[in-house]
Amino acid sequence: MNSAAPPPISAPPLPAVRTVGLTRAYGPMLALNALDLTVNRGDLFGFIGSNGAGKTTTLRILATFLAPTSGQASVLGHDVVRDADAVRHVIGYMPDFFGVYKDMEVTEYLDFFGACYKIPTAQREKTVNDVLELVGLSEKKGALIGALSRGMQQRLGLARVLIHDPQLLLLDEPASGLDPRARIEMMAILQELQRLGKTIIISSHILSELQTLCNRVAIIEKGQLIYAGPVQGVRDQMSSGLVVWVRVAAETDRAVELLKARPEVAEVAPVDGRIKVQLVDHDTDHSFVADTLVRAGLKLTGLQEDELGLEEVFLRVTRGETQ
Amino acid sequence: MTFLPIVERELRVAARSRFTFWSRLAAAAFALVIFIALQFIAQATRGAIGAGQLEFAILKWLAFAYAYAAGLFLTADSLSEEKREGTLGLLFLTDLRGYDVVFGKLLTQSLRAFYALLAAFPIMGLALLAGGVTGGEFWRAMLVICNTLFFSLSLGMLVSSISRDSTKALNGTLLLLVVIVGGLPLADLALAGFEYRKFEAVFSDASPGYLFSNAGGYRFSGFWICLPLQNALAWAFLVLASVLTPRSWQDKAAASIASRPRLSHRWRFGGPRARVALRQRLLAKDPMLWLSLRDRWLPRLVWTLTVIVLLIRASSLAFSFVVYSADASVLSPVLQAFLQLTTALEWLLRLALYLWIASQASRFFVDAIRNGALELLLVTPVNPWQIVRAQWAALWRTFWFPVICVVLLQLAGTAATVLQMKSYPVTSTVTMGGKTTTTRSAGFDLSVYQVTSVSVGVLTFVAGLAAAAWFGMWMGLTNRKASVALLKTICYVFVLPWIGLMFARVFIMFALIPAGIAGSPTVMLVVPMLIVGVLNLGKDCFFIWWAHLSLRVHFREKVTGDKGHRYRPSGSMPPPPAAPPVILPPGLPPAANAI
Repeated sequence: MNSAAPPPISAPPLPAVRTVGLTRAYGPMLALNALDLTVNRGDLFGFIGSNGAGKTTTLRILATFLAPTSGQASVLGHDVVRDADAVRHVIGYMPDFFGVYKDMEVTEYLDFFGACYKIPTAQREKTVNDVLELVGLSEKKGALIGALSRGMQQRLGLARVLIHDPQLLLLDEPASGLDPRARIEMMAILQELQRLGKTIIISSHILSELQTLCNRVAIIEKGQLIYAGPVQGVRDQMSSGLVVWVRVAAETDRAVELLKARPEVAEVAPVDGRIKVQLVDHDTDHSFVADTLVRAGLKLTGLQEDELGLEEVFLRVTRGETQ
Repeated sequence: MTFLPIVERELRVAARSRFTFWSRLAAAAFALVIFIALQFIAQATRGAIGAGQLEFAILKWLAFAYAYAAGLFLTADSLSEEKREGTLGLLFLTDLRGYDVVFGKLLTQSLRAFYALLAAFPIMGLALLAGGVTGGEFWRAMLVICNTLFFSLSLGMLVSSISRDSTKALNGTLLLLVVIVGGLPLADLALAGFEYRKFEAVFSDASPGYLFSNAGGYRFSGFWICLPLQNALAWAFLVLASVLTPRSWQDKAAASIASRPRLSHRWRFGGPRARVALRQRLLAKDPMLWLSLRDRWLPRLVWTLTVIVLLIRASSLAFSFVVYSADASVLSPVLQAFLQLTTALEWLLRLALYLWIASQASRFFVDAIRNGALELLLVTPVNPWQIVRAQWAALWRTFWFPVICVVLLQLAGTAATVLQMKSYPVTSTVTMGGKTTTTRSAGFDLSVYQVTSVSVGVLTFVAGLAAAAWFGMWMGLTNRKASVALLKTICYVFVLPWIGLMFARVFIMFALIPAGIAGSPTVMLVVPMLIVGVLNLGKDCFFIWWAHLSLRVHFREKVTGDKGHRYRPSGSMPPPPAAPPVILPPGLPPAANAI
């Protein structure tokens, strides 16, 4: 009987987050304007935009804190409006401030939120210890929250988010206000969480870190999605050709002339003692640059490929416009 | 350079604010309504009560109570709030001095209160036209009320300058206001051996209550001593606040928490074992209840004070009953004063309970919105109603014992009075509408009145507290400042209805006279009391119902600021794009794909 049946087509895995025409108005102002977004399971998804672009509003809607004005949003298959209770069980939301009772102990704080998620008493102690271990706060179990540094408080916030083992983490500016070491530690924890199978949506202004951390990003401006996809994809879309920086010991003008004569080169310009060479194509092998200069008897002192950074991409695709 | 730059700025802001004008108008309208109601009452008595005197007496007492309570509601949590929010330090990073900040804050908080008072003064002046009030009496009263407002606000600023926590600031101001208005005359009375005839004002000169009660129609020789003294005290409070504020704004919480042995923390939250025990007991059952009950200092304070008042008052009641049963004439002035003092203590406890419940109910939500805790909680499976229910349960657990104690004291007090009246027959004379009725009756003739009075009193007391709790929660959710939430709760639930009910009671009594019931003074007193009691209960039920409904329906939108926002569903979500069909490797059974 089975052999006669056509092979079953596997259902596509439900995306972690999907929004269709998601709109949110504050009076006459549109904070989100028909946002269509899909975040796949297991993604570490960067959410980029200027202040007031709609990032926090999106995260708050996904966290069921705010209701949308129109459109739909689903989290792991649950509608954020109709099935908000189910959504709350599978997400962990960390806002851009740290809602604390400073006179609470670290363990009390986590124990309380564990109870809010109805984790059984017997299991709570172990869970609290586990998440504290994960975020590196085991030694601060008995400390008062008010006595923790900003970085530690952020880590505690992350521990709170993880207390009920959610599948999706919504993190709004988790690294803001942290010193470089704390930021690096926070990013390492996020990578570890992704490795553990969590889907993470992170909004941040520190684009250089998102660039290395995230596998996919979305750029949002004036409540509208401008780009969503792999980081490399947006780079490819934005850069017209590879840029190579060259430094020669002497005869810079001659070097410029030599490079201009090459058909692979679109533009050459001396900048602050260096030469900026923009190639026609992004995928061109740039070894000919060194070859040309050395063959001409010039002494090459430096050559560096210029990768288009996420910050530059962001500046190019947005105009810094907010609502 | 501008002298007092913040003051100048605040004056400009107030001058442009519509609310400044509307609050003045509302105050004048409120005074006018009361004036007209009193005019009706005075006319109904057909001259038995002088219209001008009645109107002036009531209005000036209301104005005095308003002025004296202003510090509690307007300035007590002003500087302390800025400290909690960390904004006070930013001011001191500029060239501003302590006095700039203190005077600026004083003006911000009190300008509208002062304008409202000024707006009510002309209405009070109408009493001059009605007769029975002299110009001197009027102006003395106005001076005292303005000075009292300044005194109270300055005292609030001083307490605020040394406080950080809102409840402690409010409690500290309340305590000082009570001590100054009642404690100082009491100290003088104690010096006089509790004999009123020998009373000489020493400490009382500093009490606005003493000055106000003596600044009447007759010539009070101490007027020009008391008034400047109190004014100087108010300035001293402000100077002290200006000196203390720059020295107390820095956030010492983190350092002190880390380094001190946490005595205060232990007092507030208990020792480690107690905390763990409380968590184990409550967290699994209701985490929100644990959150509301973990801070134990207020329950401890309330219960301790209640036990003290209970012991003192119960012993005085027992004592008075024994003495009255033997021979009332042996009661010395000291004992009489003691009895009066214990009665006052019981009333103070009642007043404090109203304030504590209203403050505690609103404060939880104000703090939780401000520090973002509610945002975190609302994205957990905890629903808003669970939060409200837990807060109500926490209030019940904190206040059930004091409430029962007060009710028991009230019942005991009534029982003692009834028994005393049984022993000593009294003659009562009631004059209503020009008709005087004298009843010679044994004490039990009025036992109906006493029983009705205590029943209505107990019911309205309990219902009033419940209304303050529910409405306080709603005010906490809708106001960003704890002091404003408390003020609104007290005004809406108690003060405004109390004024209305007071007039209702008088009007009902007059309405009963033509109906021919006036023959029995007991009925004359009991029927209005019952009607007013029912109205009072109705008022409390309304507040409970309304706050209950609002908290159920609008909780989330108040926290998110989503006022009036509506979600417009737009059908179901389209399915995600289908994945391409899987091509199975040759030889693999089709069922393997279904895994």
